[in-house]
Amino acid sequence: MTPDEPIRLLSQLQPALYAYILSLHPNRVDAEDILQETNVTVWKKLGEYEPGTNFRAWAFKIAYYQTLAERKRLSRRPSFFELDEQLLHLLSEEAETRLAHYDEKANALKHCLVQLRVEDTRLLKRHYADGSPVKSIAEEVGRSAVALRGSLLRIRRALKSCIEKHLSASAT
Amino acid sequence: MMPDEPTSPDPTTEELLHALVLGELGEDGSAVLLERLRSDPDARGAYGSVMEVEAMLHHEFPRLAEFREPAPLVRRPSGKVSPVIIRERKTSRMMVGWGVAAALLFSVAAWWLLRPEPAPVLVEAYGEWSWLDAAGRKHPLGIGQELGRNGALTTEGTGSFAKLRFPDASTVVLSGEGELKVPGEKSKRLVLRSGNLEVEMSPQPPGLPAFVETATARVEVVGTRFSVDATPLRTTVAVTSGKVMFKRLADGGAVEIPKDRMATATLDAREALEARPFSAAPFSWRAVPPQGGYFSTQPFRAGGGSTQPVIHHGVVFRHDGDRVFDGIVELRKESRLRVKFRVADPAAYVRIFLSCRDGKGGFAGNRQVEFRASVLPEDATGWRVYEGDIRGLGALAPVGGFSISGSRLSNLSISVLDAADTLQVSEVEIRD
Repeated sequence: MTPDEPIRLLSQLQPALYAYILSLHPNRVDAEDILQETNVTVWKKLGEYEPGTNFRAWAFKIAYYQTLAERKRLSRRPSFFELDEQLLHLLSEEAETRLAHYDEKANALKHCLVQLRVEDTRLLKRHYADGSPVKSIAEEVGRSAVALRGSLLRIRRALKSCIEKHLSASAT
Repeated sequence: MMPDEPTSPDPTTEELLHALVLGELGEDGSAVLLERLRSDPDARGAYGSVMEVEAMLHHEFPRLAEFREPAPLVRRPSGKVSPVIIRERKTSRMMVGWGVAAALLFSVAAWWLLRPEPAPVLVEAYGEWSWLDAAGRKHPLGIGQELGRNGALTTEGTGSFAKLRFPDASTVVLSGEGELKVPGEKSKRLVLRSGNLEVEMSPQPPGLPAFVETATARVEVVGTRFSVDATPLRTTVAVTSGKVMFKRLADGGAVEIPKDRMATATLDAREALEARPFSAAPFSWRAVPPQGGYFSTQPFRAGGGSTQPVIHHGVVFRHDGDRVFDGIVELRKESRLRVKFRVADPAAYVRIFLSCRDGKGGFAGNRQVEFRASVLPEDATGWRVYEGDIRGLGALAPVGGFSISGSRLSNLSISVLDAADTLQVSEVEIRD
């Protein structure tokens, strides 16, 4: 492994690392902060990484402990949804297994997004790319928030089903 | 139906997860979901699956959002045929002896009076531009070619622009993710579906003003210089000289925008419709990631269409305020750019690209520099620093270039030419 190999690996791992952190701490903004902290820690600890071992597992482990550390700071904000450490550990193990195929799924998602209806794509853009909450979008487009929530649920179901079909088609 | 509503006393795990990702899961719902996650492996599987899709949408969607908006509903100005001509045609039928001659005479007169505005010609372009026919197929459009009537001129990607000239010497410059139709009608009518349009309109014939229409507004102009920035939800007009009448389609409200003022119309008629002064931009700017980290290479669309996008790999800075009118920073002739970066391969070529606006919405040119990373010395941890005068960067467009002073940086990208290379940026700064 060249000295720059960890940099490349870490860059490639960013999306999966974010997904891993989000599954341990389901808050978009916090997860992005934790990802940034994880990157810094990975970079500082690069000397401890043993070339030839599983870089992905090593980085995920750092992300896990970084999430635990950040939870304390973030817990100052009230939230009803608090994962205890035992549950966090279970979710972490399952996420690592699931995210082994993250890249293929993300690639399938690109194909699935193209197949969406224009109004669904527009809704996703407002919510995910522009970061608008459902209530604001509802006010802008003159629809009820309940209807928009329903639309997002339907779209997410459709995307999940499409990704699964895409992966099973590629496997055969 | 959402889990915390009284009509859904026993929500499914999927519904609870949906509320969670929307940030709307209440105390009771949280308790139920946490209990299911502790005791039910299937619930944990569903949770992981939802979080994974959510992460993909957060992470991937902003870079994949290259869909084309459908054509907006645009109100057409009433293209009435003159009742005088119709009446005179009736009269001409009664004149038996002169019938044929009169009919011919009136036909010629009608054609002359109602002849369409001559089509504009593409006189200059840069980046990705094309002609989109009525069926949505793209065609190349060469410099000097006339614009067709049934279709649209499009520009795609950062820094792309296309300039049209009308027979009366009026010019328009379409830029950004732009789509413009120029239907052939008696009045000059431009339909801007999206993007930025800089207009320099020659004085129009009396009683026949020109129009620029977007999804949310209509601009009526006799002769002036202004720019229009349009999305399907929002239109902003900034006037550099003269004045325009700006009408919001949502409620028909109108405001006159004089020189050095701008106004915005959205679909929300409750918002104030008023002409306001141009915004100011800072003279220096610095971007550093939090906690001493770095910005990493991400793929971004630099041009091309949704079917054949041109993807570059790098770090992009855009102003996320009032789009092109604000800009990241106002440039001066002394402005210098400093970029601290690191690449995996010292032989990698690095490209720094700047796209500028004039602070009144107008396009103010692109600048770019490319170099091999190894030409700059690296420190002990591999970081290299590029520093140079912005006016010294190569001007890409348009012909003749623009003055740096007073222009505003609207987009800055630092990228590597080979997608396999890795680039990290720890600091970007613009100052005198």
